[in-house]
Amino acid sequence: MTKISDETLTRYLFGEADGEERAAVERWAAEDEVRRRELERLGRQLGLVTRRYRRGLFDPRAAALRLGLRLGRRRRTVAAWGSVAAAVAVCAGVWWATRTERVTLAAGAGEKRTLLLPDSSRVTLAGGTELSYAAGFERREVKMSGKAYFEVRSGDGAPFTVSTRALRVTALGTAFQVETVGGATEVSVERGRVRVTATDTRRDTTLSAGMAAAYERGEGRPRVEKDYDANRTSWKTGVLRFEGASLREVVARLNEHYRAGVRVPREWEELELTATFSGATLGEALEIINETLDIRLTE
Amino acid sequence: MEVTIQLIEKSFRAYYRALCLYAWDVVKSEADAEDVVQGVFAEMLERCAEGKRQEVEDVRRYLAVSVRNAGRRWLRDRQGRETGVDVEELSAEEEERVERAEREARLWDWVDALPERQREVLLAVKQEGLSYKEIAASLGVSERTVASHLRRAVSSLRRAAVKVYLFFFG
Repeated sequence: MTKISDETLTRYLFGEADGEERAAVERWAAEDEVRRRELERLGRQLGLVTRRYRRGLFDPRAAALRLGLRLGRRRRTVAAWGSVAAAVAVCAGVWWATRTERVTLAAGAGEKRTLLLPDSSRVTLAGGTELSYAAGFERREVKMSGKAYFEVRSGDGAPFTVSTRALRVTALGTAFQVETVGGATEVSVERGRVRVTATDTRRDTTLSAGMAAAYERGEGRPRVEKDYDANRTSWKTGVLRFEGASLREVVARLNEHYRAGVRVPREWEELELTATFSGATLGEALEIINETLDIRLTE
Repeated sequence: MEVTIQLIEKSFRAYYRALCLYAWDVVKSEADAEDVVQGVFAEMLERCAEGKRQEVEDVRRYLAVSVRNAGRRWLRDRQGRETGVDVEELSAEEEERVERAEREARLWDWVDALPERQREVLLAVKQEGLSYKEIAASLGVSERTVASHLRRAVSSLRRAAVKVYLFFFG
């Protein structure tokens, strides 16, 4: 059996191999149908991808924002993207719509970013979240989709407004979270008070600390959620709190929080737990659970 | 299948790039291609916002056919070309183009996700036709470094193939 190094294979694919190396790669490929196909596929893919690839072109995230804002307005508004800096992980760009220059902040998949807005309010973006505001930030207004946690600076008198497709959320100094899930938007308030207004019917409701509401266009009025889940903001605070929760619920939440796949044997599912995990690792949390309930869960 | 905002958003994420690449084949200009594709989505969204009920059997096929028709209308309106009438089915040749655009879009996503230097070196070899030596000189690094960036890019492409496969069939 012929063996070739990745190095040689790469040189072959990029036309850098000499005659001897080329012959070796071709012998290697001829020995096995799977190898031959993979070599052919790699060559074809490298050709296809570099044929007309251009960085930033046809970026769905940029286009989604542009399209979202175009809705219900003049159809042929020309919006252009300025330099969309940085890589896949995180990008911040400048955006012009009709006459307004907008600043866009985003967190890539799996990222968490905490940023200061021009008024010194703090926003933490969960992965895949995009937020934009008019440069200058004269009115404290942001548009967003995804999940973001806001700590609004008070004392300026001016309200702070977060808009999504479904809701407008207005706050004075407070901390709250806005999350869009498909066409719906959920708001949870940690401190202070916020007013949420349906973007279509203009009906509103006021939420205070510990309350949450959700709304999707067409539902009429934002509905207040009775069983407010304090762990909803755990991705930001790092704190998970359980009171008499079943082990099934606890582990489901831990799996979500740590992106883990811990399994609970059926006979333990209904065990009850009251505990607070603050900044714990998954291993530490499991150790506490195991000790408390005298069981053996593993990562 | 009823067209909802959720369905539009989902298909936008899945097909936007591929549809742009396909539209590029039709209208031959990347800016126009984006306008054509965004127009198709904007129309769907508008009908949704107006509360009109829309049904499609296969959203991917619906989008591909709409982009094809919108692209042809664009050529007719802008360049006064005789481009024939709207179709309800793609020809085999056009279906082939759509499939290639889908593969190309997944590969663009792959290049986007590469570390900066790997991408830079990859494009320098394939798009500018530079040799390892020329790239090394222009970036001020050794040929070994260039080789190692490319080796890593290739091994990530070999792994990506598995993911692309799972994406479609998994």
